[in-house]
Amino acid sequence: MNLTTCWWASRRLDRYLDGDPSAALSHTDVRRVERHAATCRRCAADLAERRRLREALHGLDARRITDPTSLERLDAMAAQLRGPGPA
Amino acid sequence: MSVEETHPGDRGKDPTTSSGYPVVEALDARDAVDPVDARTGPDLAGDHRFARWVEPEIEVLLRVAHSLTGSWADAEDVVQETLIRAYRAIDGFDGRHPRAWLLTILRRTHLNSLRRTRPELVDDASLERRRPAFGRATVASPEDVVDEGLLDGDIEVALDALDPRFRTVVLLVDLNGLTYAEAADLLDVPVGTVMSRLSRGRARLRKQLRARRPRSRSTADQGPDRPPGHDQEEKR
Repeated sequence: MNLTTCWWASRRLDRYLDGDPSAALSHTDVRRVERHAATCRRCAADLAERRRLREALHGLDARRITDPTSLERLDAMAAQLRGPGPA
Repeated sequence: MSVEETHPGDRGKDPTTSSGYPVVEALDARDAVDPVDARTGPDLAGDHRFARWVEPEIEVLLRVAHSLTGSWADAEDVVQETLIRAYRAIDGFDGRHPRAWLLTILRRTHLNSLRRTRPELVDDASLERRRPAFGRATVASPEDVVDEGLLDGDIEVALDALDPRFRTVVLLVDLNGLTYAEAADLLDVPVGTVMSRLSRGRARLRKQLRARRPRSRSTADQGPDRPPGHDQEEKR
């Protein structure tokens, strides 16, 4: 596989996965990353590993649940601040 | 139910509340009878704005504050003060990007609380020096462990081992779900800095986790500890 393309793609994998509005890849670049990952085993594995970490971090966040009593107290406080008008 | 009890936030705005003046008390009594109808004009608008823009963000604020302080108790204090400041400032807020606006308030609040409690920590890098605590209570139980997935305990250890500059960004973006721009505003650094720290932080996590947990099953036939990195592969 073309090393230049590997290098080019590997530098864009995070942006590809994140899709963050501050650093969105162009449609052309998205297609290029996808085309490359579809044919390059190394980059496909790299992408998969990044995805796994991403999912693991999201999963960790989901399990590290926000302290419900803190949240309840803050919600109640916000409701008190603004009064009973809007729901 | 008195107005005093239901609208503590109004105390600051209206020092005449429960002042003992008959007219004021009559108004209070009317408010108590029908508080919704009695609230008109800017007050109502401000309260609507608060309910619409601020309240949906409370959970995110709490999680972000937890990433910054490392404790739920400290996080709650910071968010409480953030909410009060936001309520006071809501009339001057144009409604665009409420999360970014709130994160800015949260950042200042956090810095102020650090100045009060840990003045030695407060400088440009203060937000990043705090080491969020990863308590034992948050380590995954065996049934949480997904086959082929990464162990929560391993991830927390790896996160804890990260340089705080990298860890904070990873926590804010990958756990709290902030955008690059939101994290950049919060940390007062350029978006490019957030991206490079995120990239380096994630790379270190991948490396750490690779070392900790040799791949099983699907990749076992290709040998343990085989990193999918390009460099390694190219040397073969």
